[in-house]
Amino acid sequence: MNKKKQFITIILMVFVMTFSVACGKKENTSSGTDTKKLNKEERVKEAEIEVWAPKGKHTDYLLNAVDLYNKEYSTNLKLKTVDVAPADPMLQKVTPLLVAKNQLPELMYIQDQDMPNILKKFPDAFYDVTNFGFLEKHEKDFYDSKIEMMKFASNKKHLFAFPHDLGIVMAFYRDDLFKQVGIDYDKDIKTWDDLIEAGKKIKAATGKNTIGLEGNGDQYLLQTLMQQNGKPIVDKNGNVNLATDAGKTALDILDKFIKADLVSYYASATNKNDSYKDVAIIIHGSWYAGTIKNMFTDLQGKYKVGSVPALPKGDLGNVAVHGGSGWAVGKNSKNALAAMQLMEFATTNMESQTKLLELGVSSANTAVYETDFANQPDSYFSGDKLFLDILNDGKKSKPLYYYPHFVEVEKYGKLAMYDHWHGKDAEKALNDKASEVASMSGVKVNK
Amino acid sequence: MRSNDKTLSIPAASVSVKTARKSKGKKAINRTPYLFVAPFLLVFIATIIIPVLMSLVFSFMEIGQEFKFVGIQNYIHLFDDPFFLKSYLNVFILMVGTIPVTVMLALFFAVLLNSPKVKAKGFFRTVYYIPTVTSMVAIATVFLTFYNPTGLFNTLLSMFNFDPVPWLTDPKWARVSLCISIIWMNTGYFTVLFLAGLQNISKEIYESASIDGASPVRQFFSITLPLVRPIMLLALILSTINGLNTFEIPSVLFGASYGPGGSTLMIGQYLYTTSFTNMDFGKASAVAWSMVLVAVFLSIIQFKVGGKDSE
Repeated sequence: MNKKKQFITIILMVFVMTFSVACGKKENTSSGTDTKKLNKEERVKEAEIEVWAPKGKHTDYLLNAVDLYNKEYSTNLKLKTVDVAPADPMLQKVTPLLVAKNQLPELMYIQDQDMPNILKKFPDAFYDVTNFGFLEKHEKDFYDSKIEMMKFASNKKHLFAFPHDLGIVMAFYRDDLFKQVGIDYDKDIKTWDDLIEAGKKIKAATGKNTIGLEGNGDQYLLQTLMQQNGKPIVDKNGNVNLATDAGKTALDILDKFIKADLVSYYASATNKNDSYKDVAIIIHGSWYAGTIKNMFTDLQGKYKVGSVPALPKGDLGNVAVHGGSGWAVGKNSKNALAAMQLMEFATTNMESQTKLLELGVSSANTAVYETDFANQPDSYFSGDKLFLDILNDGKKSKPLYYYPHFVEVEKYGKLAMYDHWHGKDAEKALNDKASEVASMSGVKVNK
Repeated sequence: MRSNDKTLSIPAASVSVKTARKSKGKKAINRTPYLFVAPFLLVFIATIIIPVLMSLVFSFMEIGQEFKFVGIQNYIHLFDDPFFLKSYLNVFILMVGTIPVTVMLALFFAVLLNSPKVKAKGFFRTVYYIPTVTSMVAIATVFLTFYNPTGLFNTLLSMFNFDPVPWLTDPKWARVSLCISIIWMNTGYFTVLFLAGLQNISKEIYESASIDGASPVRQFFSITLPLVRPIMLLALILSTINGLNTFEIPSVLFGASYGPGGSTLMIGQYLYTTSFTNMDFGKASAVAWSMVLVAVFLSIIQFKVGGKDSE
């Protein structure tokens, strides 16, 4: 009995100690430096900057930027890159450090849609880029939609990362297939209905389907169509737009493709490339241009780039956006000031930004699209001026409002699509899922 | 009585010295094993016990820049989310679809490998075990290509004039796809486990049963099955825990989509999403502890049902 008591006492002691450790963490005071003051600090001459980002084009861009920066300011900054995949893997690595209040790397590549959840839980995780004076000096150079999206990530409506790229939704179409049936995409395809009619002809002549569709619900196409209609899945106030007429119109348009048997299905993002390779048109964020070039090398010269077809009725001329990312500077990091100074340079210096385009990234900085490089024809896309096309559409792009519950609304949108494709009435499917996710997230359903 | 008298005749001082020596010696003997296990124990407490207890504490907190005690709110909120219960339902469907088949197949292969007629047992044992040591992501990626609309499985079906199967886009078939991959991956491990159990059964039992006229089938049901029952219980418990921890294969096959209509969302994926997509660590800890409770509950049932005679 005594031993049992001793055992229970020990367990209780460990539990209490654990509880005290968990509760007793004090707010980090080392991060209290005012960002506004940072702007007035002298340029850091020597520092090592650790970067967490997916290795490849993004880190190559930064390595180039550091070289340019060191030459420009006679500094000796060094970059230490750590390969971390974007989205969940990045959050998986960053959040334990934030919870434990451990030291962060200076720079982190954070997707725009992940930012609201980080800032909701850890409002002091990153330096305030707006207070650093970045927007005051450079806002005019960036897509309005990008800046608004990034502002909406925080309650303060400030930027907590340097804007990097923006995925303008474009149409990457197989010019050879359209020409085979006597259709000039740029001239003849104005609306989604035109595309469906062209798709029927292409299918009859070549057997190829028109679009790839995620069989379990395609949130990308749903979002594209809803944004074109001026109603992104989450509105400016955080309310859910799924049950609006925009959601219904989106499903109606996709139904037409399905009924005409013009769809090549895939199960998840993991195997969408197989489906995309075999269809007449890929509607996707502009960053997918690089994937097409790398994945479908045998189709060089067969693709062209164009605008996404307009809605059949009452099109508003809106262009959709899919994704984008930024560079966040960890407050609790060794050389944050050097990182802030470097990123202001990297995201606004034209030589550095041209390198970003060369690497195939759709920069969020619009000024770079005026450089000679951006105006060169792209041989893969049959001589189209890829970046100029992106810029022209990008100027008409509308922001997404990445509230913390945005990802949940995406999921429920997919489920609504799936329910509809398996027999449920479109309106009911959208209403049901919109109500479920809204009640879970404590927001309203827009009708 | 005499001996008692003898004892009583020992002088008091001598008794006290002996007792002191004895107790000193006892202490010395008792400390040594603790010293030996201490390094392991310290590491175990630091890396397992404390994190586990911390996760229990976290399950009652809202975790962010500040830690806020919220009582059982995280546990209550779990039931507001339809995906939570759905993920458990999916796990149970998966368990029902995989555990009996895996255990039966593993036992079948183990009995075959245990037969004296089979040559190159080591080779087969290695071959069966390969899926266990292969990366689950690699396995899932290979199966993903098989399940493609124009992949291996549908090509084989079309050769026999069957219609293509929507392996990954129909809820029923999506679950079947998942079961096939998991059964393929786990059977080898349990085969080796059963084989070890079978090799411990004395051949003399089978010989005497043969002399008594028992057929091989009778021998299997009357000797083999009862004697491998502890291994079977272990296999069932391990399969149940594996089932609860299913993560990699559905994540690769269906990505973040959770399968058609959410039919392949597993509780492990739900935990991961809650933690690293929604960044709700308190709720994620509550999910983790719900998994512990379910695992313990299922193990108790298995012990009660199958463990009575196996001790």
